[in-house]
Amino acid sequence: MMNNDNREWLSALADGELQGDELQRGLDALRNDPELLASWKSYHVIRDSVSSNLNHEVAPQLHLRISAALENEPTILAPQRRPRTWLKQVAGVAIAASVTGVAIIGIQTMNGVDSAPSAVPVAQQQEYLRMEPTQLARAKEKATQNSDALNPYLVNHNEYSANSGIQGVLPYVRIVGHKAGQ
Amino acid sequence: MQVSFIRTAVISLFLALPVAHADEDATAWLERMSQSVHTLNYIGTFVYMQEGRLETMQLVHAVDEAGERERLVSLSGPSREVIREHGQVTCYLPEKEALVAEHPDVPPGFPLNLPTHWEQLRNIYDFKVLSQSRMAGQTAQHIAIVPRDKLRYGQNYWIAADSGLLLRTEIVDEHGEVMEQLEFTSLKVLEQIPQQMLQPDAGSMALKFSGNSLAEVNASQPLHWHVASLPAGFELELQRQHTISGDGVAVEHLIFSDGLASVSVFIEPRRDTDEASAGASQRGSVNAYTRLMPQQRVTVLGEVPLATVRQIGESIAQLEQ
Repeated sequence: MMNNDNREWLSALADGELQGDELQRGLDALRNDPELLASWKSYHVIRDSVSSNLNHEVAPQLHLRISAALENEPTILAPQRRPRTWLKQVAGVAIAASVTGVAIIGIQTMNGVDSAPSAVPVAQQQEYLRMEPTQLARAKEKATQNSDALNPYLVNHNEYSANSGIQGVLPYVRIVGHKAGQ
Repeated sequence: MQVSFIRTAVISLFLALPVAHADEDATAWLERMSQSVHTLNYIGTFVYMQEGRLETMQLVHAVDEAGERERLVSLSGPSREVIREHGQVTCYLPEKEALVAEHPDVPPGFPLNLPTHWEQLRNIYDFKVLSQSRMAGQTAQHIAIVPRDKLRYGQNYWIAADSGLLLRTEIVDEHGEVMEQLEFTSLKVLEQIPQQMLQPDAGSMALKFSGNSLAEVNASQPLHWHVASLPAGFELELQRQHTISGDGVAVEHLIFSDGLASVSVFIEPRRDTDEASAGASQRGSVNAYTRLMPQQRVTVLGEVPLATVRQIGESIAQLEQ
């Protein structure tokens, strides 16, 4: 049975909150512990089900079944979270700006379950926190456009890259792994 | 199919040659991996990490008489996937995003399938056979590729001893830091892949546009562009013209490679809206550098350090006609 430490750690790993040595230790643990690996897989099914990303035609009742199961196992859904790395970095600015309400909008936008905070540099996040809401939306849209504009180039590049020769379709993870517009 | 047969034959011939040195052992492992990745049927789940972020994805690969079919799909977050079927690539991304299709004219494996490349590569990279370990329930051989300068990245591969498939890979930047990692948590070789495993998720369709190759010219054709300061070891591999967006405007595409790392240069007519896109950007280990010239926009992109794409972007010039 998994203890609470493992659970918290696994959730942090799945949310991409581990970095450097911590991340490496996490992966080593996954590699060496079959039980942990099984939990890792269920975690993703649960997370996707909760955020309704599962194909409901494939698993029509799964979402409901998991929701029911979660009532008996609330810690998986709401694990004690360690502070997000980016949150630590912008915390100072956020507190200073919170009276204006702008900071809250910024944090909510960047702190959704599937948001991709690291796609936006920290300096830029701090810039967002100082902006008015309409400015914020426009600035984020522009950053996304610039980054998404790389996709057609990446596809064309990948088809001719030597890396595609030895790794097959894997260089495309850079397109699939890019959560645009969030 | 004929090309892939010849390619397999060439690799097999190369693998049959006696290997005397450690670096030749390393390149034999890499050749074997390259062959396995393209010729086996398999399904795997892996984690991909970059910029401190982690994604879980599934990879499905099938081969039949018509060629290769591959599907890469995200298991976390909104549905995003890439399907490569018989040389055509389609990206299914969240709503409002474009879906890109491309028709490449070179076989996968370009340009690594020629053993002569290894001789050239040994001048710029060191190849090492390191330890064996267990991952995804299989024995894996660690092969390291270490660059001799800071103009390209290092790569680590862990290759399954049984199947020759890739189990884990890392890209190491010019400071020795791991910047991108990919590791399979499960990987199975199968006799046959069920057809439905290769179908895109219903409901993920969005906008669609196709990029058809207008013309392909090989490197022996006169080049309209010249890179004055090409980083050591890089050579022009291919020159082609194609469309890259829905408006049908031709883009000139030059591919430079040192045999392992590739850099693409895209040259297209400059537009009024281009001002915002100039400068450097990054996606995982891919760096891009966009330079605006009076008439053209030049985009340089590849799995190399920023200094390398910038050097190419800054030193490219149009030849007098």
